[in-house]
Amino acid sequence: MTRKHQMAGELPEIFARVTGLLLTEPVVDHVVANIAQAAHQSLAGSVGAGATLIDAQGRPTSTASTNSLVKEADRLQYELGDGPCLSVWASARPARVDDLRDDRRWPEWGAAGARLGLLSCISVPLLVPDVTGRSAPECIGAMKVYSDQPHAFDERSEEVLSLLAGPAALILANLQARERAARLSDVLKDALHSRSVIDLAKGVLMERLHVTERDALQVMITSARTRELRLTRVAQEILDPAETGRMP
Amino acid sequence: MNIDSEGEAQRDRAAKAFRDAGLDVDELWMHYFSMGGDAGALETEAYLHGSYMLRPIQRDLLEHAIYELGNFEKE
Repeated sequence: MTRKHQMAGELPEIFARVTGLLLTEPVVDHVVANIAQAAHQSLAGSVGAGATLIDAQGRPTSTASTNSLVKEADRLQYELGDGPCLSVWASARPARVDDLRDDRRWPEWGAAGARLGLLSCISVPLLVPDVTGRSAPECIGAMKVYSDQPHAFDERSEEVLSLLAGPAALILANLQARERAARLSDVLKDALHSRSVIDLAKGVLMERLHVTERDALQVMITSARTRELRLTRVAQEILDPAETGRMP
Repeated sequence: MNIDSEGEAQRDRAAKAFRDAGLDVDELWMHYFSMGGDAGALETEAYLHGSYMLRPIQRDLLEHAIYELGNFEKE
């Protein structure tokens, strides 16, 4: 998808951001850290929990964790490019590792985690429902808990963690919207600039040729098509013939 | 040719060019907007589906936006 393509549907995000409707990063981090803490405290055997926001390229962009052990175990996954959280993010399905020392799915990460004293974990996807209801929920990251005991977690722990991941995902999605809005503001700026250049040129032609607005636009369109130039370029020439004449 | 049939002919032409170029309606609207178009994305889509009519100057702009997207490399 091009940046411009995303623009039309997400214009409201820009206005939400500039009018302060979107949460700021410190607020989001704080709330997500609290949710991770709730996961840690409600799951027996947990030694730490965390949530990681993962971008479209599979890179972690923001994390909240209850302690440095969780941070370290996460860092290992992204360094190795493999691990339960990345798989959970890619597949949008939960994953449970009952014993890091002999898990065949992620042997390298498992061995490294075990050296940190982490022996089991569960990871669930952070899913954001599609607001239009037209497509499947988007997976924006993973939430996980670790234990220093093997087989510390079961299906019920997975359920509890999934319940907590819901609100965490929604809050983190707010942060994503903010980042997207920042990028899109540049596209909006370009579009508004080009609009005003074309509008101004149209006004100049109306005055110069004593024609209607539609006829002035037609003059520019005809010139653009004959000379195979973009309409904005033709408009720029009308506004500043000397300047554009010097351009290659 | 009265105004309505002129508008309808132009609309048919635009709809065909839009389909032939295989453009995305959001992308088209954005380009049309950046050239000074003032119809909304919904109106634009409805126009291309033949269920809405745009003012003459807006029709010209949209037609040219389709032409540019179909004939120029993306920036």
